[in-house]
Amino acid sequence: MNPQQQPDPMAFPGSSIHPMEELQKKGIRKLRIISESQLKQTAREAVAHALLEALEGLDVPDVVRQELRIRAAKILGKEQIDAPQEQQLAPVAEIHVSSPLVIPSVSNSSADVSIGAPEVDENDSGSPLGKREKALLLQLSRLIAQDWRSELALVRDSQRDQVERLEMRIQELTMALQATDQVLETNAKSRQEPAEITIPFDNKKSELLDQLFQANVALRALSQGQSQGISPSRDGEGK
Amino acid sequence: MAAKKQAQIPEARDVATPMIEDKVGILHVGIDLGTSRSAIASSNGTREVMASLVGWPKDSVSAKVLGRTVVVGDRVHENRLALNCCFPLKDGNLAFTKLKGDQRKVSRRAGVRLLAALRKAARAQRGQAVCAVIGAPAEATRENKEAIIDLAREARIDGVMVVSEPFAVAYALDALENAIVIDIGAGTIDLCRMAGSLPCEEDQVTLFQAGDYVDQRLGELIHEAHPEIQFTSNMIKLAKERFSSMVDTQKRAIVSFPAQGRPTKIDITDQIRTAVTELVPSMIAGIQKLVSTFDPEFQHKIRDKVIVSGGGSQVFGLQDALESGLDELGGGRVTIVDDPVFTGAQGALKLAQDMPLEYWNQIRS
Repeated sequence: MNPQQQPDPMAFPGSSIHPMEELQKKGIRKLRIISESQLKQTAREAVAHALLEALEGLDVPDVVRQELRIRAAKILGKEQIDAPQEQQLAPVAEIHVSSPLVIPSVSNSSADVSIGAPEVDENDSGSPLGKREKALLLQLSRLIAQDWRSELALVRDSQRDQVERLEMRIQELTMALQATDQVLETNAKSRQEPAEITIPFDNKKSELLDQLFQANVALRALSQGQSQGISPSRDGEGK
Repeated sequence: MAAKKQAQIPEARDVATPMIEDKVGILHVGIDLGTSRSAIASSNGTREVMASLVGWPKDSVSAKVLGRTVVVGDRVHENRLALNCCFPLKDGNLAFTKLKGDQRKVSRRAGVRLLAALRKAARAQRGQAVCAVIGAPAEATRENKEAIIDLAREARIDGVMVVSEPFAVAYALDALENAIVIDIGAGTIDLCRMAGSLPCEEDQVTLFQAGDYVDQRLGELIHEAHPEIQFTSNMIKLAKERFSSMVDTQKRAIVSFPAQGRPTKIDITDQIRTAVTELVPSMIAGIQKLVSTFDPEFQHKIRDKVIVSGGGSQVFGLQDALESGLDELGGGRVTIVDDPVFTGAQGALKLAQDMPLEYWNQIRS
């Protein structure tokens, strides 16, 4: 692998660029292109999933919890999630829509992904999020972001491993192909030059076989000469 | 008339042994003719091993019980009380070559029966000529090799070639250069130096202290330690094959032999170890003889390629024991073959298959 190491402000950290020719040489014929927006959407959905899973364990007022659930459901496209509960709490939730939760862009992944609330006047008694709740939300967002980042890193690592394995396999196959080519070439040459067909070991073997044959012919001649008088009898078996 | 008859003889022989046009008409066979067990491998994929033992029913009752007039192979062990048993091979050679009178005849017939049983085990198709390469001990006498050929012919094996058993092993493993092959059998231990040509007398050493010697020594040692115990040579052989060991292991060799008609458990670990270990010095001496008489430039090469085959190669710790012995000669490497029972037969089969067709036709004519 020889990725180009030019800095690119738009690039994802840890990612690399490969020329198409290089990929084609490695036998990669099809690529699936995922746009940045799609990736961001996927990330948002992952955060929303994580939020939904962790929501029940959070020490936040029910109203906030419900609001978070609705937001997450919206991102996931599940408007009808926990419908009976939603219907029951809908009037309360409507009251607090004025303080929306924003899941920030993933592109700025060097900074912690945070579920940041807009600037709210802390003295505003109408705001449902006090200092403690904000701190909790921030902590939650950090945890989720951490999870998400580690998951992404895992996926990236496994993909890198796969690519490395494929590269090694390609190298092996290339070497095998070269060896086959050489053998085929040698065979073609030997067919053209019949004098070079026999290898030394074959000659030695045929010499050995010839020696063995001659020794047995001599032995047989002696045996025939001596066994003239012996007539194998088959009677009296077992006596 | 006489001239006419003489002219007819070669014609009749030609009819009996038609020329083989292609290798399809031949069943190639490799035979490892061993003192204790014989193995066969044939080109149709058949592989069999059987005890080198022939038995005839003692009387008409046993003949009726057994349902046959002669029994060959492992069944003889099972029915030995109803049979007159005969080992056709002794000390690696056909036993009849050293016998006289009736004993010679019976032993010879047993040899034919054993080879006929091996031929049958090869499962030749009707009309197929059976061409066999038979492995004989490294230092088998010329008389013994001739006897093998004669007996094989009587056993309806169409073409026969005799080869040194360790050479067959070397051929099977493609170790034809700079190697020493040791074939540990029941009757003999054959050592053969491979130098890229057919081994001659100087390249081979046969030791007559082999598996049978271990059985005998083991029997003596057990009798010394436990005089009240009753056993047969077959029981000793089975115990040896089960527990053979040259190194200290956690496992103890406990056997149940009768004493005064009562099964009694005895520990024969030390006796087995002692009996088996006694083989090593003679093997090392054999290796030393082959190494010291080899080209000094290549001596280290054959020391580094010592291949051990045969049933005795399975003794636990043999590899280490031989390598320790080789250390005194400057070190060496010992390899035990993967398939000790069939490697010789496989090598003989490979030789039979590689042998050109015209050679087989000449041998058969």
